[in-house]
Amino acid sequence: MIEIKNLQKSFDGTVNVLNDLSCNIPDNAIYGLVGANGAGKSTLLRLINSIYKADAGEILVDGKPTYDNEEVKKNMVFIPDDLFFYSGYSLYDTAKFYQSLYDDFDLEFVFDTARKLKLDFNKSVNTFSKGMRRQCAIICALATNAKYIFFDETFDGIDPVVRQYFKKLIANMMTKKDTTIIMTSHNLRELEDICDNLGVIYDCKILFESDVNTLKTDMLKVQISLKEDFSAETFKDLEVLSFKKIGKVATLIVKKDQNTKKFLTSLKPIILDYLPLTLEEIFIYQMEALGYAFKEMV
Amino acid sequence: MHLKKWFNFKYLYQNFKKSKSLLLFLLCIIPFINLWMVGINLLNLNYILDFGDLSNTTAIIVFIFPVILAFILYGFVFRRNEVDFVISKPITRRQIFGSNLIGGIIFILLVILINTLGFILLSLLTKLYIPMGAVIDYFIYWFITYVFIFIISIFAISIAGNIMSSLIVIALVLLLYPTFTLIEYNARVNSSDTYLVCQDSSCMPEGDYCNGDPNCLADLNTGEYLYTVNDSYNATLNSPINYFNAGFSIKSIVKTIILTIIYLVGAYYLFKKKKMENSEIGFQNKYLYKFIKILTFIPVTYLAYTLLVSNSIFFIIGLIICVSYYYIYDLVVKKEITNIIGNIGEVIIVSIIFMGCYYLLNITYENNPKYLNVPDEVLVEYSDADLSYRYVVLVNDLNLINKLIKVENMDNSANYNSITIYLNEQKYMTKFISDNLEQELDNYANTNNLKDKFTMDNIIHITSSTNPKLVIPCNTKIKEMIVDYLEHYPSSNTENNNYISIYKYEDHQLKDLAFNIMDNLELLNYVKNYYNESFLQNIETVVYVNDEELMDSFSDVFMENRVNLMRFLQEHKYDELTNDVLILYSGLDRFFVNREVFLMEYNKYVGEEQNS
Repeated sequence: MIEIKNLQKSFDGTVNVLNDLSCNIPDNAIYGLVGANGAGKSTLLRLINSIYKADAGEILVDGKPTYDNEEVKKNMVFIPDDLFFYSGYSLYDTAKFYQSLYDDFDLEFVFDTARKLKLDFNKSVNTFSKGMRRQCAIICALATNAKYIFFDETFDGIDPVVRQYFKKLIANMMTKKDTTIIMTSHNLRELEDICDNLGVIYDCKILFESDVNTLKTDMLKVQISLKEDFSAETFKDLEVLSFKKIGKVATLIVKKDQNTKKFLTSLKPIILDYLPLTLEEIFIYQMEALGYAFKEMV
Repeated sequence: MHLKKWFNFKYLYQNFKKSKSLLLFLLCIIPFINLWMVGINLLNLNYILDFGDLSNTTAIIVFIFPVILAFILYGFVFRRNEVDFVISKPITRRQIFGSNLIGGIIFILLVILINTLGFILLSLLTKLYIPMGAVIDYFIYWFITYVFIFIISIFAISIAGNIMSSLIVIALVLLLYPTFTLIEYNARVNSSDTYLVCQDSSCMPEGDYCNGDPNCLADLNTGEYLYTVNDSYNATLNSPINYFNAGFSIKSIVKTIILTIIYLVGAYYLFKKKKMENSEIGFQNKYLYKFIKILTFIPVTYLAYTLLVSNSIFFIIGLIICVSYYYIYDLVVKKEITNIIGNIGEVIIVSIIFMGCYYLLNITYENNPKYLNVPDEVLVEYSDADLSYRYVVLVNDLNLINKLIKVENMDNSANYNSITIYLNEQKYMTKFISDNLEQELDNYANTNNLKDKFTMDNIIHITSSTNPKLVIPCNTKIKEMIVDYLEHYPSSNTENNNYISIYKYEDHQLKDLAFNIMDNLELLNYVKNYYNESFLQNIETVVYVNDEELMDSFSDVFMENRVNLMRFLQEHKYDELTNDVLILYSGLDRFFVNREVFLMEYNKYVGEEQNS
């Protein structure tokens, strides 16, 4: 488990990037970090991976501080947004580099995956396209079998087919091992179908975090039309997060409880559809409920 | 202390592997350049090499190679994506620092070792002779110096955020102290305020210089070390003010080691504390940026000051230099120029402060004359007639010191030679002495200074003094003869050039002693064979003889009948010599023959010629 307590980081002593940030990242979960460009997502990952030193606060991984801690870092691997490969190094050389530093590195996994993705593991990685380079980085990171894997802008530049392949790979990994993956993106859709937990960084701190399933099951998106004329007042017995009516059809986002559906049915609607909620919508309404305009944040 | 806490071999291996081409190139090119430059000496007549000869190229490479090596190993801190890649791996900053440090030192060791082995091979396989002592000194001195520069480079990398700013820090660390000493030196030299005080009248200046004034003081020049590492006062074959001419001294080695340790501790502390988010930014701390900038401004303002004092018209040029530098520095380090108006005020204030300091320094020296007593021991440096060889003699005979220091009347009938007398580590004076006094100095050097220090154990090499190509095998027998000779024949008049030189490597320098062999028949007979063989190999068309009677006619006679001469020389080259020896000259070579035998042959030949 990763515990972050009252973390503070500023650049140049003046610009606060993170301020009093606290959060807990549970084990065996895929944690998505969302935030606008410059919100501090990458800085948070660099702080956890002890690339930067926090001005104040504490980062504990499995109860131990991470900064410059070799033992803890053996369980962590970080793939930043701006990738780096040694000049002239092939995928094989890069994998050997990782192997020299990670005890559980699985070289066979690199060979298998590279073969499936048709990556030439003897060719210099720096001659590859941006997407292929990211594939190489992800393969090496997964092959470390580290307990905590950090991806910054994970699938940036990777085509949809390969992206799905990696998502599947990560999901399989999660089922086999006690792995925790922390990934950042400024694109919620990117994280929607893979993350268990989501956190939003805004104004130098984690503004909101929650379990994705809970979020999804907590809310209902309803399209409804009644015989009689109706307004938001009609649904006053429900906790309505959003109400929009165009003509005779209204779209509602409501907090779900055991009586919600019964109540809606009791109104004898002409149209009653339960629509799927996207993660983006969930966040928009959740944030709006908290008094923030989500679209300004991400 | 667990080694693993400081060192991660796997990381080091990968770090070397990523730069293998460049490292391999350095590993090959540096010894190659070094050995090649030293080997060029083969073309000259200097066949015995000293520590300084071995060090010439190395002294230049020392400012390049260790810096490149430090950038290869630690330069990742200047690239943000490489910082992410390296620091996020399961390795601590201490291990990164320690592994790269040990790796760098091992690599330097390897390069210096290859150079050293190269010198040994050069000595074994060519006609070059390199004393083993010089090779060992080379290894120790340059290994320590290379490590010193390597650590300074790490220190600079740890302070700065990009390549340019770290190069500036390296330059500052290496050159700031010499710059201060240069400024101080110039202030002292220009003020001409140090005087030598004689204890008695024997060294009192006389003649036109003082016009009979008994209180007249000899004016002194001042010398200064420009570089603490190459503190070469003890290396007497090198001038103390010669920056690049390295000299070995224990004092300098100890100083270097202490400085290395200080910089190493500083570099480690800075590296551990380095804020990696500042990579690619010259100096994140604006006060540090300003401080470094002002330090680099010292030589610029000094240049402007020098221009100003030479001619006030140049003041504008000096001002332009100062202002331009201030903006160029920003442009180079920060890649931007900010606060143009504010900087002008700053340039003017800083320039005035610095120039004021230089002015105060000059005034202080001008108002503060110093007096120096004639020391008991001085180092005297002089050259031979064609300035091809410098001799350095340690004189501790007060009588001779006084003679050397005294300003002589310039007598038109005598030749005068320039000598430099080092009075202590900082003061020296240049004098002109007559041929006679130089001869006295020569004799002093030979008889009092060096003779008794040459022993069976330390004589390493013998050459003919006039022809350094001619190496005479130095076996036990000849060593015994030489030692015996030095004990029993105190005279060492080398005027007639019929002498040999013996060499030893002692006190980290090559010392030689030239002595006459004409009054030691046993020794002369031994070395004669080598002289005569060499003469026959290199014989030129014209041959001269050291006999006034034959001087005019001899070369002509044998020119006409060279076969006779060659036959004669071949027949008599191994003759046992008696007391009356005649010497033939051909270029730098000499042929020793008994006068009686030669004259017999000569007269026979002249008679035949006349009869025919």
